[in-house]
Amino acid sequence: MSINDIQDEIISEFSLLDGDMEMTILYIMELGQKLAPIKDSDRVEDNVVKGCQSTVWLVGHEEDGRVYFEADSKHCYH
Amino acid sequence: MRPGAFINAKEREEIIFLSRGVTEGVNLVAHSYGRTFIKSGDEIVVSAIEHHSNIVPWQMVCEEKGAKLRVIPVTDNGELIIEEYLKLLSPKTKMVVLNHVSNSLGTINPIKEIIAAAHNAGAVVLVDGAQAAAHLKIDVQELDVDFYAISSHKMYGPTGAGILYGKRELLEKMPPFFGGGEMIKQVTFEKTTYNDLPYKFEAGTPNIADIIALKPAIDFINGLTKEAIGAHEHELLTYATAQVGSMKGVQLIGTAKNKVGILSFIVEGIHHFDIGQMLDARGIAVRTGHHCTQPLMDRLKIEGTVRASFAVYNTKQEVDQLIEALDRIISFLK
Repeated sequence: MSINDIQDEIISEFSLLDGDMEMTILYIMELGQKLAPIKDSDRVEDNVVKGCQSTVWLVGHEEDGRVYFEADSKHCYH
Repeated sequence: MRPGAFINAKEREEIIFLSRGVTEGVNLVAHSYGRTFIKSGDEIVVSAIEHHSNIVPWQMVCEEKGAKLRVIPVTDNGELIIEEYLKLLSPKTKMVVLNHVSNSLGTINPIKEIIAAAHNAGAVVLVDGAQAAAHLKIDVQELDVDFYAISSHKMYGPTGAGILYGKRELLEKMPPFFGGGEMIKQVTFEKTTYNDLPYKFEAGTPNIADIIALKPAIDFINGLTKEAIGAHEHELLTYATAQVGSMKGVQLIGTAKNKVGILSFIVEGIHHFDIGQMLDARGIAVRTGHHCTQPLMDRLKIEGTVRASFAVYNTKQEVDQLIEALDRIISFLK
């Protein structure tokens, strides 16, 4: 699947929400819940997204010319 | 009405205009008074429910001077423990700094009693009045407070403006915080003499437009009267506290006996930011997070809260909308 296909899929999914902000936020939260937990060793200060709302870790790595991101939060509803 | 009359200052010279609100006022006092009169081994007493703006400048002074920060503890419901405060006071105490009203919890602190006790111990008191100015009567002479700072944007005025009140005898013996234009009498390369109060502390071109705009904000508050504002906000707070407090899974944070119209809460199993986002989607503006009071959040063992703040223009119908939206969010997310 090309990056454009993935992008089109995301656009189409969000179009179904028809601009309803409440549903859009709810959907994003559900997507967050589906993320796999990151490794304990990645839950380190260097990976914390600085801010005042919650503790979120964002980890990136490169593989075969592609960048992959993983994210997790102290408050993710796994 | 002029800002000085708004807080009942004795003289115009005791009012310094700020271009950054209370944060600048606290920094001015910390860097000018603090760095001049705080010595190694001295103590500065802060409260456990302070905004970072009234903690960090004092930590900077303590670090530089070898002084110690002592903290007035708080109960689980958000009230300062006065007996413990009295025990902290000693000849080492040079300053007591605290807010009139907590921005995270809405607690109204008994500052008159706190100021009197500090003076008995020989300490000087600075009060952060940011959250009090639009809601409570402020009379700096009656309070006998040494420094009192307010922010324009917390009282229906523009951002980037505020005032610092200081007793004349203290301001007179303090060195300037900023050097530059307006604050001088005469400058030569050999020696500079400083201007009179309040200009000594107003270097540079101030935020003229926004300071002028503070006056109609004061007139707006005075026109309604603080008694009427307080009564209206108290009615909304009482109603919202009963309704939100009885919702399943909701825990109110800050249930002091004396409060302004701030309702802070958390919901079991739902992150405060998610609630804030969902409320925002329905046009309901709340603040979420630690509210720049991380030590307080640590003390209460929480990461943050959802904070609904009731202002003079809010209505009971809007509180109902908040309750209905919360009900819906909880049913979605639990």
